[in-house]
Amino acid sequence: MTVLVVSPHLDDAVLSLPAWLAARARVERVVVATVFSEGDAGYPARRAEDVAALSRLGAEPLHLGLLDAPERRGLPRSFRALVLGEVDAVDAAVVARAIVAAVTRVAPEVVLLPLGVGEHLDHRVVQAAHASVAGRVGFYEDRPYALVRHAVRARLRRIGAVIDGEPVAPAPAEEYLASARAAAFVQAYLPADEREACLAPLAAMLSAPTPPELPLRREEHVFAALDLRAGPAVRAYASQLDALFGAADPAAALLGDAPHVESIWWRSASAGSPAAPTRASTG
Amino acid sequence: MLARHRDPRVTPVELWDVVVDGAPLYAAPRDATYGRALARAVEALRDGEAACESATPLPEACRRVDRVVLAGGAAGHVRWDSSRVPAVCAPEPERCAERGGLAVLAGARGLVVDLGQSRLKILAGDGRRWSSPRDLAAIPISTRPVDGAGRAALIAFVAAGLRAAAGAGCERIVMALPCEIAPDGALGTCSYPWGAGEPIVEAFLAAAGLGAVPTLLVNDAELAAIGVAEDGVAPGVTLVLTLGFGVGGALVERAA
Repeated sequence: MTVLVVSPHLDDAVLSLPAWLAARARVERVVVATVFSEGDAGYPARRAEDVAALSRLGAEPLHLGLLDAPERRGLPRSFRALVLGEVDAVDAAVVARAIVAAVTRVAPEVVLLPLGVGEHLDHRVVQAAHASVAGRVGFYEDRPYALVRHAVRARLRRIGAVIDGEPVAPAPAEEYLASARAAAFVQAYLPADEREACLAPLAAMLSAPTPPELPLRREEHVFAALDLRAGPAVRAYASQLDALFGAADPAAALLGDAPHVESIWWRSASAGSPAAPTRASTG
Repeated sequence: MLARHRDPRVTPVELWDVVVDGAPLYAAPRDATYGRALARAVEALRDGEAACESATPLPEACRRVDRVVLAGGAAGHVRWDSSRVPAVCAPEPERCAERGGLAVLAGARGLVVDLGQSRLKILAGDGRRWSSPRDLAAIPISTRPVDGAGRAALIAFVAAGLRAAAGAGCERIVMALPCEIAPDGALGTCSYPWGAGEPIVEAFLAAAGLGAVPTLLVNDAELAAIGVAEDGVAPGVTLVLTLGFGVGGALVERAA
């Protein structure tokens, strides 16, 4: 069996699913395809980090060679532009084609995409590509963004998720905001004078009405003991960790103590495949 | 105002940590082999060879299991693999607990609350549903011993659901919980951050302003089994496996 895990950037898949990747790579072929593997001058070093991390896990890297959003779309490298910006339909089609080509090349039985938690444009456009991918498709929770309280729920509401037949109930914005303000990546990437204005629309997703349209089923993977390869794989992305985790130990933040849980949200067989397309959930 | 509800047809079975091939069932990989791991656990129950990691005693009736009914949100996604014990998926398997809860409510105006380990689902008497996944960032898997991390978030989560779902004149609540429940209503532990015997349900109800509403407590897998019993089972011993975050079990016995 072959699993294809699609990562928007060079770190997202491993930071989100370190224990799951380590476990699956022990028993089957796991390919981690990074869509936006080109960007500014730091990208050669980031690609090397990715190769090293996946080597530790026993997974194969595949770099699809697209530019990240600032280089591809000429956007500022700002939280406001990258998180609150709208997905461009032409850009989304290009990204979807690249992902479909990777699926064709790897021929996996299972494809995992990011859920798009945190609303980064590049994550959303990769998540939306699920509508072009047939077969068994699941979504992983983008970490560390998913560690913000209610951030997963906000994303589920935005994409119109229906969990076991039920839409996701609204959640209190204040709880989200308090958690987001304290997150290291928000403090690193979002200037203090813009913070409240940029977080407010994200918090509003927790109560904004959305049409239910994407049936999902959550599957929690519980790890009674941690694979010793998972922590070093996380730490391999050294260039990104300070901004994402601040003073916290990234491996501890992501893996914690056993038992550890990583979730996959499986798309219903009838939802979102090319044979039964749904509206691309680009927000 | 809390009471432990028991249905004479149903016997709970703590299966979540039955050891299969040296590993507890809760840690079994959720892949194509999961149906085989579940089947091996059930076969071991029948053979009298099953043992729980927590050394929880297993009911003697486990030796007489005739069939398995799969319930819960993951029931339709498991490939059952046993030549010795047949299994079927319950109709609308994700609604078994809801059907069981309505039977326990017995026509009273109230709520069926199913606090699973991955999701909170509430059915109101007027048919409205409230559902939200557990936020593992705010309510993480509890440490052992329980340090209480996430306890306040859990209370806020459940209370928010109760407040949203409860209308005026809520006469009764049926609350399913993912843990052992003693005859006096004392709770055992689970992945949520409460300690054994802690009055967490009282905290939920008080935070929602529903502390005066009579509330019946029942194990979540037991409530799903009540739903299956209400649907009708064949004579003999039926093991209802509720599949979600982990696996819950309950026996439904029906005389020939």
